[in-house]
Amino acid sequence: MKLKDKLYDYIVRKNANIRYEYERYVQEHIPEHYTHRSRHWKILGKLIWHYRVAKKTQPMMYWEKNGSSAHETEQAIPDQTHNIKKPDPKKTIEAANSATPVKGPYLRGAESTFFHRVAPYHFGKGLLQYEVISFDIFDTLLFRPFEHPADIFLLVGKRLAYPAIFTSYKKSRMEAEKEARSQLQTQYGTREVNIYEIYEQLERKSGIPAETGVQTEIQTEKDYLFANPYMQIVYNILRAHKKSIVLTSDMYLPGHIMAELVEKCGYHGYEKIYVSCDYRCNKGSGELYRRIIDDYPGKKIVHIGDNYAADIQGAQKAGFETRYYKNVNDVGRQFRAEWMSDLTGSAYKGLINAYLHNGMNQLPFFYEYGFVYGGIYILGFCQWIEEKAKREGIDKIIFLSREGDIYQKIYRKLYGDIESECIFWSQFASLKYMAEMQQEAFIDCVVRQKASGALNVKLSSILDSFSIQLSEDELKKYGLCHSSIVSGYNLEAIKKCIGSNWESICKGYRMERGCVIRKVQTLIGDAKRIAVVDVGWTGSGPLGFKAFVEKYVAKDCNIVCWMAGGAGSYGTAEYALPYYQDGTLDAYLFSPLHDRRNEQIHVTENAAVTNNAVFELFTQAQYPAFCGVGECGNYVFDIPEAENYEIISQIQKGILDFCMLYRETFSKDAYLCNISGHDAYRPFSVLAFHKHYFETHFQDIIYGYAFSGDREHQHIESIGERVKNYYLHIGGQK
Amino acid sequence: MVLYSVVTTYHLLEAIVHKLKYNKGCSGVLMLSRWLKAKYPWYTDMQSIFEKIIVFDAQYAYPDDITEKLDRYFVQLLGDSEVDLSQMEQIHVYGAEHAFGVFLFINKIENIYWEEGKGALSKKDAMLELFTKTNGPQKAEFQYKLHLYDGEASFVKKRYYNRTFQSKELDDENLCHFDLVQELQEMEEKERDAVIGLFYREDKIEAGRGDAVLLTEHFANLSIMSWDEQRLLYQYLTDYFLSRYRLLIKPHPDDVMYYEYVFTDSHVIRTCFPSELLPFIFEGQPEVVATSSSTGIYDFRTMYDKVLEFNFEFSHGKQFYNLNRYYVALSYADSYIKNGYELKLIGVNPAYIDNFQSFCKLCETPYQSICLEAKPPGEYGQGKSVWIVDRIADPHTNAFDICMLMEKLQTDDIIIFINTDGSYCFYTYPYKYLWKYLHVIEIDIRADRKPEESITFSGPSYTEDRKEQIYVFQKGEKMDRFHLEKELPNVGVTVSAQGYDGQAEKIKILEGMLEATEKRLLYYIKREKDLLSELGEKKA
Repeated sequence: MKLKDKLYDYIVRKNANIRYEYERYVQEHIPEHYTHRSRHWKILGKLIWHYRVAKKTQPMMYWEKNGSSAHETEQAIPDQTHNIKKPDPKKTIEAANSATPVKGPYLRGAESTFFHRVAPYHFGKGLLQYEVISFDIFDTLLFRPFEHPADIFLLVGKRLAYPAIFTSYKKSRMEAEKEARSQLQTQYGTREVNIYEIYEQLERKSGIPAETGVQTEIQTEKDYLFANPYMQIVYNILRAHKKSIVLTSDMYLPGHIMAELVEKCGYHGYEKIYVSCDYRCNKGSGELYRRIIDDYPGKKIVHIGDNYAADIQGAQKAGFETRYYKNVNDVGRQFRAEWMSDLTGSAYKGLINAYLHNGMNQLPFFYEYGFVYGGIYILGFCQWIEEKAKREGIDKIIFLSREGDIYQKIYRKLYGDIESECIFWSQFASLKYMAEMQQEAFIDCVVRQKASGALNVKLSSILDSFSIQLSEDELKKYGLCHSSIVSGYNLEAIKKCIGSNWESICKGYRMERGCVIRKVQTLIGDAKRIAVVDVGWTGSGPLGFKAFVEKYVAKDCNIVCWMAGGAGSYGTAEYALPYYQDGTLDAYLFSPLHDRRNEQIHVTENAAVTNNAVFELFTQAQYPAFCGVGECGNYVFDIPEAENYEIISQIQKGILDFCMLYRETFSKDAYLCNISGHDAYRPFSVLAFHKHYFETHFQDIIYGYAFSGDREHQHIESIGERVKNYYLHIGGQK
Repeated sequence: MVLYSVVTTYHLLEAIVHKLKYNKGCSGVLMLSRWLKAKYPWYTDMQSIFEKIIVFDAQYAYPDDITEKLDRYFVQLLGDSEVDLSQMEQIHVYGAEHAFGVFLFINKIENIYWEEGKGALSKKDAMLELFTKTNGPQKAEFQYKLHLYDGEASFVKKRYYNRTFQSKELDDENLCHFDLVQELQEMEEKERDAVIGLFYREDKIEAGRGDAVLLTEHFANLSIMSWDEQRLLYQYLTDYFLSRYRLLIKPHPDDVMYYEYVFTDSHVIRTCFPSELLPFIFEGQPEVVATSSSTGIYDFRTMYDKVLEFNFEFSHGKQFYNLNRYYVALSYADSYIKNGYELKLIGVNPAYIDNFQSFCKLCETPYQSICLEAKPPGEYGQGKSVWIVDRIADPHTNAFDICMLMEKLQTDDIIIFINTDGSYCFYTYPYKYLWKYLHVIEIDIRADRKPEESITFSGPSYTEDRKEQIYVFQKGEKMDRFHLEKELPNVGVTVSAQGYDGQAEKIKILEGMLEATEKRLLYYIKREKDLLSELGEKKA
């Protein structure tokens, strides 16, 4: 790392407040950063004095953010990025392949390509030379969709209505097993207990009738165990070739129960099951394998399993050949987010690891992006919408397109009880059709943001995208022309020009607005209580639609606004705060009122790419953004981001598949679909700290950072262009 | 004394038949590759045919093993086996590109060369390409230069080949035609049974009318497609063409797919034996022989009443997914064909037409495959023709030709656009007005399972619900209302097709136009990027 970068890191990045204000200032004054660098250094100096020396809590420059709750000092909330080790990219790549990896995404591509397994039919072919094939059962033939096997006890406890007052059922159940083993060891010299013995122990301590406990646990296993698709192919190949197949397991479930479990998962035609609790010996000592030798003397036997000690070393002790099938959770654990809640986290991680690492598929990168990071958020969000809509007596849910497209698709697939529609709406529409009420916001969005973007956009392009017609003569009055490049230098002039022509601009929009009103009226119908759903972030989208409806369409309609994420304090949305507090506006993942840490991460991390850009990829659609309605009532769209469509398709497929798979897997305990916003955002928040993930793989994706792109050249900046520009002008570490 | 050196099962069979027919009285030595020894543990039974059997390593490393190591190896091996090559009247070498062939050719030892596989002698360049991929360029180049692919060397006394399978006429006096299946047929029954008995020791299988023998290939093993796709290919073949037949499945020796559980009423012949012996293991003869693209079928196709056969593109190009579209298109065209319409094809895999005609009785009429480059579009359009158009060479430039053809056609002509590559070759902006004559047939493929079961831990299902469209161009009256439904029980879907009218049709067509425009857009975006990049490089 260069000295300059180290210095920047120390002076700027280590303090979130300095970083926010300084980087925002630079973004808004990029040409000045080039031409008058000393002015920026002066500002930086002032910020350092303000926050580090004077220890101020109130903002120095950007007062539209809330007071002390937003700007906490270094002491009050130590920069938590200190505690989260920011990995050196080289180390992260190495660590992804090392024995003690740092948690984070797989940086070299799709995660399913990380751990190579031989194709199942090759694996099966390689076993044809043996006469007897022994399979381990759990985590080899069968999977449970949990990160740790014992996590299933949490569900068992819930089904038993175990009073989890001071301890969990899982802990009690594990303790009972430990004690039962200990007792058996003392009495008979073996620790290989069966489930009845465990529940006898548990009954004494908890009062749960043993039989009830046993049946509940067995039923829960039946509900959740599923066949490993990789091993299913291997198994069927061997069966078709008439090989002798036996199943061998260190388990407390007796053989006849194990038989029910494996057969329920589609495994038939095996010759025998060897279970440690039946034979009172285990695999690790080699003793259980010797029972197989007794039954198949002189035969060439191979054993396959996931536990190195029991399945490989133990089998080799008995003279078997072995094949190691690495546990899917051991493979995937290093890439899974930490600090999720225990149950949701275990379910999510178990499912992801089983899907990505069983060896069946190498999936496309963006499909995985949707599956691993987007699916849990959208599933949780749809569940949240459904619960909230029922609680609040909503007649109709209106999803604002384009983001609402995928939300509605998933919502309808999973629920669909409450009527829903998807409407073409956008910030374009909000600004145009509510223009009379927000001239300042209009100019800010239309011009200021464009001036600070990576593209050199002509004034004509911007005017065209907002259907503003100003003659060359009119522009000349302000020292402008159609081919003027919008920048910080002519910002004031443009502002004055638009201000002076404001009435005619608004007049043009009024005609369009009439068409829009009719369309929205038809859509709303008779609904009296409506929820408007959008992705986020400041709330302007749904609040703008709400204001539009209340003013022009249906004054007596009660509208609430729901978003996936609300970035209030760190964005520019103090106007939204009263709506949060009175319940009109709410957000699932985070908001100014809850999960503030996630809000902070979303807004401050990954500044070059911006988390909004990559997060919104989950909810983009394969059509362009809606600009408004033309004179004839025709729909007008923005530049089509055709380059993204294939990627969007993959991401959406990944999201849909995750949602369906998760729902189907956990359908027997529906509460597992109640995913908290924290848990839903957690996987993505880990990504946010690995900017190289985005800067490497998302370079070619285009994103309209500042409302659309360059209309004249039909060009929207790519994330790669944006990142390049960011590092060029900010001078931070690349 | 004669010596035969073999590497694969096909070579072994040829050697056995040749020895029995042409060198019966001579004592024989068989050099057997280690692979064959592992594959046929009963190999010592062949001592009734070859007095001595020597197992050898057919593999060698290039260039490490060349000359010294190979020489040492074979000199020692033959010495230990008391075989003196100079005493051999004939040395037959099969698979000359393997170790023993290299040894013979480097030392210029007189031998009789057998082509590596059917038709290989005329395809040495293709062999070079294939072996470059499998053995690496240096080794392949070495083999090529040593004439191991064609046996064209002065010390090669004779070259055996199968004339029927050559891609070009070969003319050389040392060439000798040998058709294995024909030779087997001509053998005495007792002798033939003895040969068959080496490889196939089960009872003969009863077969007759109503039976179809299906030869599979190991596509997944060769990474041509995934495991699920391989299974799906055969499920599609069965559902569309072989549903009336009892399946007798002969898997390729390296194909481990569990067809017993895929087609539960089938009989799977797991015994490993050369496919050339297939016609001889039945009591009676199945009515149909079927394959996706196996060359193994060529030997005995004439022995069966019907042959179901596709080609390379069908399997390797994964065109089997297009069967639904072709079925619907031909079903639509069938009534016109029955009314005397001609059938013309552009960019269509003729195997589809042949097989649908033969097995499904659709569009049973001779057809013409048209090339628009050879004869301009203006010269067509005589009326009463059904055109089926699919993949054309370059959809971006040839769309104009297709549109000109559309313009020229009469009102009683019909074009069905299969559009399997999604290139919308019939759409180009200047001819947009022609789209008013376009009708869409939507094909709905519905999986026979709950939607949530379409995704499992093995990944997205290959048979999830989807919709496809084909387009019918008809200048005449509105197209007839069209509807069909077909169940594919093995694939697990129901295919239904519906022609659209009115507003719904307009929407569908607009969707198609949009998709077409997007594709063009992407094409030009990419072109621009490439050109800018080239320009940048030139400036640099």
